[in-house]
Order: sequence, then structure tokens, then C-alpha cells
Amino acid sequence: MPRKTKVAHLITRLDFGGAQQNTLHTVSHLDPDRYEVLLIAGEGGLLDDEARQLSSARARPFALRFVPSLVREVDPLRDAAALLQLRQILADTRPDVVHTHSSKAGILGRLAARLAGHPALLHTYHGFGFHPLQAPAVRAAYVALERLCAGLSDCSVFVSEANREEAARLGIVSPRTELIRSGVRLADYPALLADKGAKKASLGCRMHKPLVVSVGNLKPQKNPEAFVGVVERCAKEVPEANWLFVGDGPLRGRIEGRLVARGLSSKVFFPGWRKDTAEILAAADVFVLTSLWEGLPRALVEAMKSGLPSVCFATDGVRDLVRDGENGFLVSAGDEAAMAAKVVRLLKDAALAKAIGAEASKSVGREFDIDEMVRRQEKLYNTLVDARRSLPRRI
Amino acid sequence: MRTPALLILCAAAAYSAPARAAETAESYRSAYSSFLGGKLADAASAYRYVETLGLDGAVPTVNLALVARDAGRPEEALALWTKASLLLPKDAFVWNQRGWCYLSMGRVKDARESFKKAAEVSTLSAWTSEASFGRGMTEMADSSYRAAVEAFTSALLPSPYLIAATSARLGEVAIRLKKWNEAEVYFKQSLGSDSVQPDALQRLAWLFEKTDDPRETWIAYKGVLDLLPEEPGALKSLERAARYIPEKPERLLSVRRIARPLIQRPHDLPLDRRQTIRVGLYSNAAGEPGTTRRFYFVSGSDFKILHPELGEVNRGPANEQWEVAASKETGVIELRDVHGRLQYATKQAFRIQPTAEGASVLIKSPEIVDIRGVDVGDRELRGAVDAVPNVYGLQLVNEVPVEHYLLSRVAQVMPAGAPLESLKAAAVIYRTQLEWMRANTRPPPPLKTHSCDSRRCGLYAGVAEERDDATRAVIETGGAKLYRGEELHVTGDHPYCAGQTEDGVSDQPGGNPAASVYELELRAHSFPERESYDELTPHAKPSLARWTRVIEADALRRRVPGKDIGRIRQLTVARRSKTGRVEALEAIGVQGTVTIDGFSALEAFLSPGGLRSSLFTIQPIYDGRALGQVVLWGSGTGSGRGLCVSGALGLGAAGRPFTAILAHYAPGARVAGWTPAAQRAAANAKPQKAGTPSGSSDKVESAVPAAEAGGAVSASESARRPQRNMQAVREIRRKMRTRAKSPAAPSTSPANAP
Repeated sequence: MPRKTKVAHLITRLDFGGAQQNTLHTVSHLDPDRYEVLLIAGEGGLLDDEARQLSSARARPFALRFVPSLVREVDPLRDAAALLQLRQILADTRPDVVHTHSSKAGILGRLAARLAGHPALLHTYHGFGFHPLQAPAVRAAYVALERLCAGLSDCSVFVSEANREEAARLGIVSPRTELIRSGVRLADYPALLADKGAKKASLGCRMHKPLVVSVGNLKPQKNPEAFVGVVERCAKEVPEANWLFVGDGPLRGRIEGRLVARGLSSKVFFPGWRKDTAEILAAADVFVLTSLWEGLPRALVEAMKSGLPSVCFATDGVRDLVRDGENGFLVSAGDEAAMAAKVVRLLKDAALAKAIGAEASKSVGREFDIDEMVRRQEKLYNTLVDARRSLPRRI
Repeated sequence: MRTPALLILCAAAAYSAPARAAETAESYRSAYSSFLGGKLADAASAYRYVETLGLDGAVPTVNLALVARDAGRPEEALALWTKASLLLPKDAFVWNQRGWCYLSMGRVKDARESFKKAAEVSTLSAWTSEASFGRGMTEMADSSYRAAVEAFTSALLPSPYLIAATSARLGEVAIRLKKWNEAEVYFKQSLGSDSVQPDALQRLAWLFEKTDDPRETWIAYKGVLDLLPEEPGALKSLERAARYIPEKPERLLSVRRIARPLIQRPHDLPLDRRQTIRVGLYSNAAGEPGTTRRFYFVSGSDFKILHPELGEVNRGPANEQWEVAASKETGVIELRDVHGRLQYATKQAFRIQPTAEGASVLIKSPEIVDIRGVDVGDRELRGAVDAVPNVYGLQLVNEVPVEHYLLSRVAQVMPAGAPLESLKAAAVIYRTQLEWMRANTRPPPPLKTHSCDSRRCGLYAGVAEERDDATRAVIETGGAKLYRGEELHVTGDHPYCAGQTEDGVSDQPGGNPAASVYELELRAHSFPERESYDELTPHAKPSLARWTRVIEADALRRRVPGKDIGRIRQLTVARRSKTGRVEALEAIGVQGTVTIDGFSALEAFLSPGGLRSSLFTIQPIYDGRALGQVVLWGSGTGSGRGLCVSGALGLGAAGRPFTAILAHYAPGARVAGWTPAAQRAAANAKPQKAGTPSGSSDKVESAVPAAEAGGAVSASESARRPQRNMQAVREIRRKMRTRAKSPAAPSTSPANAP
């Protein structure tokens, strides 16, 4: 029986996000007959318990190591400690492939991997650590670090074409690049609902009134304040509409306060993180995405597969998915007025909404399937390992 | 003084003769009843009593001999057969039975002589061919293979009913003589006569394997697995053969391939489309819909792809071939158009729905995961096709209006050239079944199927099998169903009833069920009655009417359900139905006894996938104290319940209307819910009054006017008419003889001619 390929995945923290969920899915679904999997993450994430459970699953177990010093924030001392600890783990376990995710684990993990030996090294950009809201110097420092680490990698994996182009433009170059979409469970979308009205009612919304939904972390990247702005602008035109933002985060208190101040608290609901997102999307009428930057928004993929017409800010990963006027609407990032106008148009023109929704559902193909994502990663690992093995050994 | 005494004696004699006759009849009834209930000792006592009365000649002796045989007492049976043959020296049946009895005891020389004697005195071809068959079996037992070939060959000539069994035996002889090519020819001949013979099919497959022909081997083992999906060796052999075939082995099968939809100009048939049923496609022998990883489809009109939640998610043009493929690794289903462009990807169910009324969807070249028992041919289907994903791929379900489903179903059950009235009778029977099924079953999700397309539920291959005559029958009986009182009268159907249906309906004018063990045995060995309705049609194949299986006891031992009972010493019928069909068997082994109850269990034990009916008798052949072989002498095909298809064809050929055919096979039921064509035509001709819904007031029950059913008679009238319609029967016979003389004529069942 051939030796299994050892694969180590590194991620900063197992928080509630697309990158984290997909990483967990990957480590728990790599073919157990061919891969021996290790997941290394910082401590304190919302998904830590789930990771522990999955790691001990009988069918597809994987090793799980938490590195307490691996934290999201920049902290030179702890980062140095994390680097050493990661190097030690990788030296001990001697993986054939090291696959890093997210900014901090990406940088420290790739450095540690090179210090520990010569495994095949790849990093997935689920989005960039630098963004337009950062100070130019900070952003430049991040870009420089990414350039350095990309040079250490054998391969950079992007989840959207827009990210790949942006990386090339900024000189973040690896010997090889791959596009592997951030997948969703296609089988779950659209959820089959017997009674959409009942679902709306269960969320506190009115049964037979339109429902506009957004999903994401209530953090600056997702720009939930723009969502409130759009609600304000639409309130006069479509006063009967209900608005729902599924998710939670640091901006929640501020957003709720603003809604109360504007007298909109009865129209907008924040149910927090929900496990029935698929059903909520199936019950909704329009999807809105106000993110300012995105790798590839899984929530948008899910909404589109659910047949929802969507209105989004035209940011990087979103442009990969939405063709303006065909399977959704794109407006300039931050243009709340334009977004509100499109939402109103969709709410008032059911035929248009249906046609756009059907086209949206069609346009989510196999590449967005979460299992396809895993299989493509497996193929990439094999290619990289074979390439490494064919290199001449140093004497 | 003398005269009164003589008078008293005469009076006593005159009194006692009818009394004794009545007593004899009662004893026969009692004996046969005991026999049917498996109480062989009681049956033997009753027959012995009749024998002691001294009435009815050798008949009680023959009955006793048969009971002794069934009870596993061949020595006792031999004494009785010897006595019977002395009483009836010119009876070939008795000599044959004596021969079997000798053979069962291993006395081959005596058996040979008895069979020769039977052939000598025989006046019927049935007994002549059985004598030759028995002699062949004897020669085989004596290892005289060349003599066996001669005997079996002479058994082939007079009887179409023994071709299958005799050819299979000849194949076995050829194998023993290591004449592989001859053996192949004989087994092919056997299967050509009766295709439902798993043992012969396995032998043929083994021969192909032995002669290193991977293609033929693969095809033969596919046939074996169609009948015996769980046969362990066959699957391995199939896979082994597949390794030596460069192309896809499925391509070797002669299956239905359709280039584009046959319905090119969709038009609406005058049929009700409101009631629909869901049929699981590519089903196996157990009725489970098959799983496909890839298929192509073409719609006869523009079509939509519908999602249960989203509605229309895509659409495509008529006559364009699309591909549907499910990824083995991820389960993602992709729909690609004729140019290979991805049109839709999902992991959920979807529907292919033609937009035009009456249009069809053609499912092409499906890659079925497990082809055992599955007809993998193309299907052109009316209605819509649902694709439902599972972990291995996709399952397909056809949602089709009941009336449209019937077009294919009736055409597949009833042969081409069947009388219209017979087709109508079948249409009513199946419509009733489907309506009952729709109303009374709750199909389980996710497929929610009411029926399947394999033999288990009734073959259904869609538009390709439809015929004008069946379509006409369905249209003309539109809505007609069978009722008993206010309830639907659901009844089954079977290909050939062989004299008496399980519902007690006789299949010949004035026919009665067997009334003794002798009669039951006689019917199993003789050719079918010329006057039976089954035989009034040229469509009745000999293998449907009579069949013989020679089964090795070792094979039976392997198939004993549950524990190993060791070598089988005796096989006894534990229970028969009132028409003589076996309901339960008892296998007595060296290490225990097992009761095999119900048709499925009996089939799995005796001839897995190949037991034509449960109407059979068992001739044991012993090997020392244990069984060596059994010979089953069987009659008819199918359950015997409900409509006898061959009988319906015969009655239709005799000019009976479908109402009369139904009245015959479903006594007490009535046809209702249907508008006769004549009335419909009249209603259509008349201008309709405002506010009168069409087709609501003119529903009638079975009082069919003679003009309606092609000049035939109504059910009530036909019920009054005496059962014998001998003039019509003679006319049919005459036509059949004329056809039989022409070289291209289909073979008909021969009569008991010498």
C-alpha cells in the first residue's frame, strides 16, 4: 500500500467565516485512504469545538493542534513564539504538503514551513489581509510581506479571478497559481420550503411581505452600515418590506442603535448566526451584499444558488460571480442610493426578480461545490508532491 | 321362499349402487381435500377405501400410487403402479409413471422397459414424448450417453412442450461427452424455447467461459444476473469477462436505441391527463429504480428544466441532445447542452418537462451503475422525467398520466395482432390497478414512485412500445374501471392460467378444476386442452402452457433457506391451493426439516428467477436414500389470479366483447366510469347545451350495447349465454390450422394428436 501523503493545514483562528468553514470541510473530507491530515490553528475560535469533534470522527479522522501564541492581532513577541512553535510542529510531523490559510497563519506558516524543511507549500488567499481602509504604510508593509511569502510558496490558490489579477498587479507572485473556488454545499441550496410565509413569520417578519436578506459578519469589511443606509432609502418606496441581516459581530450594537434612532427597528431584524441560513434564503425575495472587499463571498453563492436576485457592491470576488443585469445587479462600492434603487426595482418587478434569480441559480456551477473544491485541492497536492519528489536531491 | 329372497337381494343391490356411487364421490372429495392440505396419509386412506369398494377400476390405485410417490414411499408406489398397469395395460400414462417410479429407485433396466412399453402403447404424442424423455433420463442415469441422445432426440419431435427440458438434457449429455459446441447449440435451443431457465443460462455461460469467448460469456452472465441478481459466482465471472472486452460491455447487449423522439409532431390524444402516476425507471428485478451516472436526453418539443422550489431554471429547444452527468467524486450533477456548454449544475432534484402537450422526452444511453436485471435501452417517455440524486448518481422517475402510461403497458403485455376486445379488457384491468394504487398507496420520498418499469411491476418502455391497436383500446375504454359494489375491484393478471384461475374461473367451456390427484397429475403431463380459451390464440407459446424442470438435489440443498439440513431425502408438498397450486413445500433433510412457504420462497428454492408458476407436481429421483434429482411437471405461467392474458386473447379471438371477457375473469365485478365511443360520438355531434359540462352526464356502466364493442354482446347478455361458443371456437381452430400450414405462420400449440 503506498504511503499516505501528509498534509498540514494552518489557519490563524477557527472563527465563524467562509475561509474557516471551508478549511474545516477540507481537512475532514480529504480522502483518508490517501492523505494523513493535520490541522494547526490558534486557540479561541467559535469553531474550535466543531474541529475537535470532526477530528475524532471515525470515518475521516485528522490530527488537530492548537497553537496558543497564534493570534489574529499583530504582536511581535507572540508572533515570534508562534513562528518557532509552528516550525517545531512541522519539523516533528514532516508533512509532504503545508497548506496555509488567512493572513497571519499564511505568513508565519510559510516562513515556518521553509525553516522546517522542504515540503510542498501553498497558500489560499480567501481574500487579502490588506484593504482600502488601512493606512498606506501599513498596507504597503502587508503587501511586502505577502510578496516575500508568495516567493517562498510553490503555489498560490485564489478563490476569485479578481484576487488573482490584483495579486499579479501588486507583484505577489508564486511559481504557480490556481483558481479553486470557495465552495458551498450545493445539495443544500435552494432549501425546499413547504411554506415560505411560515418561515418568514418564524423570523419575526410579516408572512406575506417581501423580505430582503444579507448574510455576514457585522464587521467593517461587510459594511453593515451601508445595509442600514439602503433600508432607510427604501423605506418610503417599499414600506412593507422586511429586512434581515443574518450574522453577528462587533458592529451590532452600533447598527441597532442607529436603527432605533431612525425608527426602523421594527423593519430590520438581526437574528444572529443561524444554522437555517439555507431556509432563510429560500424564504427571501432579494439578497443584498454590502461588503467592501471580498475573496469570494460564499453567502452570495448560496443566495444565487437559492434563486435569489442579488444587489451587490462591485468589489473583487463579487465581480467574478455577478454579471450586472443578467444574474444580479452590481453598483459601485459605497453607492447606497444606487443599491437602494435596484432593490426597489426588484421588489416591484416580480417578473424581473424571477428571471434574474433563475439566471443566478443557473450560473452557480460545479466549480462552486464544496466537494469539488476538496477534490481539486487533492489533485493540486498530488501535482505539487510529484513535482517536489522529481526535484534533484541536495547532497 | 326363494323368490322373495331374490327380490330382497335385487332391491338391496338396486338401492346400494347409487349409495355406493355417492359414497365413492364423497371419498374422492375427501381424499383430494386431504391431499391439497398436505395430509397424505388421510388421502391415502380415503383412496384405499374406494379401492376396497371395488368401484372405478384402476383409478383409486393410480391415485394411491401418486400419493405414495409424494409421501416418499417409492416401493409402495411401485407395487401400485404394477397393479395399475395390469389393470390398464394400454394406458401409456400409467406405464410412464411406472417407468419414473423404477427410475426413482435406480432400477434403470426396468425403467427403460417401462418407458419403451409406454411408447409402444401410446396413442397421444404427449405420452410418446414423455416416454422418450423418461428413457433419455434413464439412459443418462445409466451413463449410456449415446442412447440418451437418441432418446432425447426422439422426445423433441412430437412435443413442443418438452423442447426446453429435452434440449437442456441434451446439452448436459453433450457436456459429459465433452462436445462443447453441441452443448452450446442445445442450450441455446432450450433457451430459445423457454428463456426463463436460469440453470440452462448458467450452463451456457459456463460453456462460453470455458471456450474463452469473453463477449458471449459477458452477455450470458448478464442474462443469468437478470434472473439471479444475487448469484455470487455469476457477478465475478461477468467482471472477469469484462476485463477482456476492449469496448464497454454494455454495448454488446441488443437493447433499444432511439436516435430521436418518435413523437415528432406532438398532438394531444383524447385521453384524460389529470391522474398521473410516477414510474421508477431502469428498475431491477426487485423493482428498485436504477441509478445512472450519465444519460442524454432529447425532447420532442421545447423543454424546461424545473426545480421544485425555484420553478424554471433553464430551457432548451426541441430535438437537441443534452447531457446529464453526475460526478462520481462530488455528486454534482451537470446539464450540458449539445455544444457541451454547462447549462445547469446542482445537487438537487430537477425535472425535464416538455412544453408542448403530448410531447415526449427521450432518455438515451444511460450509464446504469448496477445493470443486473435492468433493461438499459433508451426510453421515450410521455409526461415529465424527474432526476433525483442519490449518493451514487441519479435515479429517474417518469411522471405520466395514467392513460398515457396504459398505451405502452397494454401494448407490452398484449402481443401485436391481439384482438381489440382483449386489449380493451387489459386496459380496464390495468387502469383499475393503477387507480387503486394511486388512491391507496403513499409512495415514499424522495422518489415517490407508484410503480416501476421492470417485470416486477409490469414492463413499461414508453412510446417505442406503443401500438395503434393498444392506443385505440385505451382511448375507447377511456376511464373504464372495474368495480365491485362501489369499491374498485383490483385484480391481477397472469400470462397463462392452465385450466383454472385461482379465482375459480374455468378456462375452457364447461371446464372443472382437477378433482383428484390423478387428474392433477394428468393435466401436468398432458398437452393443453384444445378447447381452452388459452389455446384459442396463436400467441400462446408452448413454454407458457407446460414446462418441465430437472433440478439437481445438490442445488436444492444449497438453496435451502436458513440452516443446512444436510442431504435432502424428501420433498413434500405441505399445502396446495384449491386449484392445486403449491403454496408450501417441506424439505426433509438428514439434519432437519425446513418448510418453504409462499411463491417467492418456492421460486428461490426450486428455480430462482425461473419458476413459471406454482402449479406443478414433483417426480423425485433418488440416489440411494437421498434425493438425486427432482423433475417438476408444471402448467401455466403466473400467479393464476385475475385476468388470464392468453385466455383473454382467446376469448377476444372468439368474438367476445371486453365486458364479457372481464365478466368471465372477474365474476361479479362491473365496468363503470366510462363513456362508450358511440355515445361520445353522438354527444360530440350534438350541439352542446350551455351550462352542461361535457362528459359528465353520459357515464355508463357495463350495459354495453352490442354495437359498441365491435358488434359484440354486453356483459349481461354474454353472462346469460352458455359458456360454450363452440361455433366460434371451431372457426378459430380452422383459421389457426390454416395459418399453421403456411410456412411463415407462427407456431401454434398442437393438439393431443397421435
